[in-house]
Amino acid sequence: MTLAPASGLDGEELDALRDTVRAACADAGGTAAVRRLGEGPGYDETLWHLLSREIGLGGLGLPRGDGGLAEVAVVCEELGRVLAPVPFLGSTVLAGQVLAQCGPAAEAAVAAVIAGEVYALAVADADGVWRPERLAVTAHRTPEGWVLSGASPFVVDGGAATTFVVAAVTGDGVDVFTVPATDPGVHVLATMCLDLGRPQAMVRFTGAVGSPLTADGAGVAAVTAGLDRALVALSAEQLGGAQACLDMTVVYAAQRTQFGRAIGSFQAVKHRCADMLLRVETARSAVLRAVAAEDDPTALAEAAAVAQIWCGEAFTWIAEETVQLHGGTGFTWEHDAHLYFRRAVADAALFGGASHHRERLAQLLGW
Amino acid sequence: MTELDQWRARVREWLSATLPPKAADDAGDPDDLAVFHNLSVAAERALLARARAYQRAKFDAGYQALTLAREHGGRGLPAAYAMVLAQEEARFAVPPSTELISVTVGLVGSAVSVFGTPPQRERFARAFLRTDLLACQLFSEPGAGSDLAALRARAVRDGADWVVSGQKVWTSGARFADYGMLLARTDPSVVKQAGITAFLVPMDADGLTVRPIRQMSGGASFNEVFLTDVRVPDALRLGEPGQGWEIANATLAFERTASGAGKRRKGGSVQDVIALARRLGRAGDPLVRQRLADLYVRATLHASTVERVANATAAGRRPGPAASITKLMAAQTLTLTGQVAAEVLGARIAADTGEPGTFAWTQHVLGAPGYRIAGGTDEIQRNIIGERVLGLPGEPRVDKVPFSDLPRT
Repeated sequence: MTLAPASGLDGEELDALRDTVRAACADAGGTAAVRRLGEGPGYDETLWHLLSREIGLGGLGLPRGDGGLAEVAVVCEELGRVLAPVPFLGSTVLAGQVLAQCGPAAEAAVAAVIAGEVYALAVADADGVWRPERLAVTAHRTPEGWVLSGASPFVVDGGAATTFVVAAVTGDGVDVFTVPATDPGVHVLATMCLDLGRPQAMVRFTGAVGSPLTADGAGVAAVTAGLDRALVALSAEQLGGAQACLDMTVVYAAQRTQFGRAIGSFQAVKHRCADMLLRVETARSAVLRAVAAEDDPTALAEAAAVAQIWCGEAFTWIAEETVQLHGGTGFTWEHDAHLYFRRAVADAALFGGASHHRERLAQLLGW
Repeated sequence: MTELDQWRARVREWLSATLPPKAADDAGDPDDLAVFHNLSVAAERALLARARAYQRAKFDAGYQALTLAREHGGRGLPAAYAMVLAQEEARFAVPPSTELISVTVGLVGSAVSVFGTPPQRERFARAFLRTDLLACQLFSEPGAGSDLAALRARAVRDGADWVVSGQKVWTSGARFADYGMLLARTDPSVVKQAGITAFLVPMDADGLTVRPIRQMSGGASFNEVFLTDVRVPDALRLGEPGQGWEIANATLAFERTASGAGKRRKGGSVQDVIALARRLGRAGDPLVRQRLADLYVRATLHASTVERVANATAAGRRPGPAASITKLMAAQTLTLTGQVAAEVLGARIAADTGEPGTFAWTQHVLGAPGYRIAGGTDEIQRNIIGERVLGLPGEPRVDKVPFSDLPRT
């Protein structure tokens, strides 16, 4: 059962976009695409080709690409609904949005992302958080150009990337560089990941040559602004996943019979489903509110933090309850519940987790 | 300029001529943190007088009952017009309303307008919508709370009158009301919902007594109403015999769509808690900051969900599942607000140090549990969401038999 997202992200064009992405994901087999991944590049190349190049979503929300944050949110919500294993979040959103903040120097890189090439963002510290003062990658100017050294963990879609968008400490602060994955000084280690549909990598730079996109420490503002937009997209993905969990749980609770009645008729189960809906609809409000703040960076930073705090915790709780309300079936490998559970826990940990965002919110609000 | 813009301009012009603008520093009284207000009879009367003056002005200027159909004496305007009015009212110092005012206008006034006979509409509709007469709600009973349809107050036909006996409870404003909209059982031989009839009962009728209920927060915002052989003329029956349940449900729906203007604040806000944390030097504590942020997120998203529902309604769209969660969200936000305030206050929530704006939080903390119960408990809200929104099956029912066959408790 699917509830119409009344007063959600709708309107004729957004509805058409939603339908297109939903149909493409359904044709790819829905969550079966995650289970098919196996050894390959860590994403569904056919689906990504279709989405990024044929449908043209590779540059969604980027300068000279189409659409804004509303379109990005709709796509993330739909991809999140089926855990579609494509580098939309890693490349178009994370790398793309940071590149978009880097001005003219990043034009070629943005064009490549728009064309569907996979870029990956490497800006996390050892705890997976964007804290420029704790970055472990440094960049030095040499006669050959800028040379980067150090480790960058938790790089989303790093294994598939042709190019890394890297934040590195220079003498002037933190700046953003692009580094091709083929540089002999780049070492990519695909890591074991909780989320089976979204790989991460540990990337080590040993004298890799980078092209600077910002100068004089302007990288901090660029990454922060890009990540704020990416947090909204991540929240939309969590909303989609949470809605999918609620939908499958309601269907199951209405049809599974124990003690001679559908388990959904028991208040202990029904009330849990009601609480799931409350969290899903609140998540939708959070995403809508953040999308509406798109053109005001100060309001967007606050709304992105609010959305990520709510959506991260809501999706995690809903995924836990989805396993629980499916009983033993929900604990099997064959059932999809654990795929969502894995995604929920991993998503909530991207870029700091709720306690990090709460503290950031407190600072943004001047407490 | 669209018609709605013209409407807004007209509303604003009227409001400017009627009310002073809202003061910029309208932060309110730091000690006014009660969820359920506890006023003296004189203070309540003064509050009512101010609210009634505004309701009358509003009625006379044509701004009352906007969304009520024309054939029922309303303006028959789309919900967007009511929303614009509420938005514009928010810019002015609208006298605080009370539960009795909103029940009179939104619930009983609308019910009479829709379900009343021509003479009843003539006599009461305008009087209620204009608050010349005040009306309370005589619905809940000690044995019929969440299961309102199980009510036992009896009305028996006797000539041109009905004779009513029973006990009603949780009636706001009963001491100030001229009439009560009463639900009574007139036919125990059919299933419980089918045997209920609605009446308008004069609150000064012989055999009717009102007794305030003191709630756990200390004040008496509600009343019990006892009816012993109260004679109600058949001319005061609202709708047909047996139509009471339908009327009650329809009128509760009016109440839910009524404009929120002039509502009194209910308890402290997230901004009050933040100000409190600052005042007490707790805003730098990392754990307090986490709690404050958590509260801020919840309160902010509650407000934006309410706004989302209002916008959808105003645009003539179905508000969707979001509409059904706002009561539950409101209760949770209010509860969390009290919990975080208590944590920030520490020992000051337990004993009054005399510092302003501290021990007053006990009124919030003690009132919040009532908000989880009033107007549909959290549990009933979850049943409604589960069954009507998510489509989950109902509990097996044992009460689908004639009312007279139900076991008495």
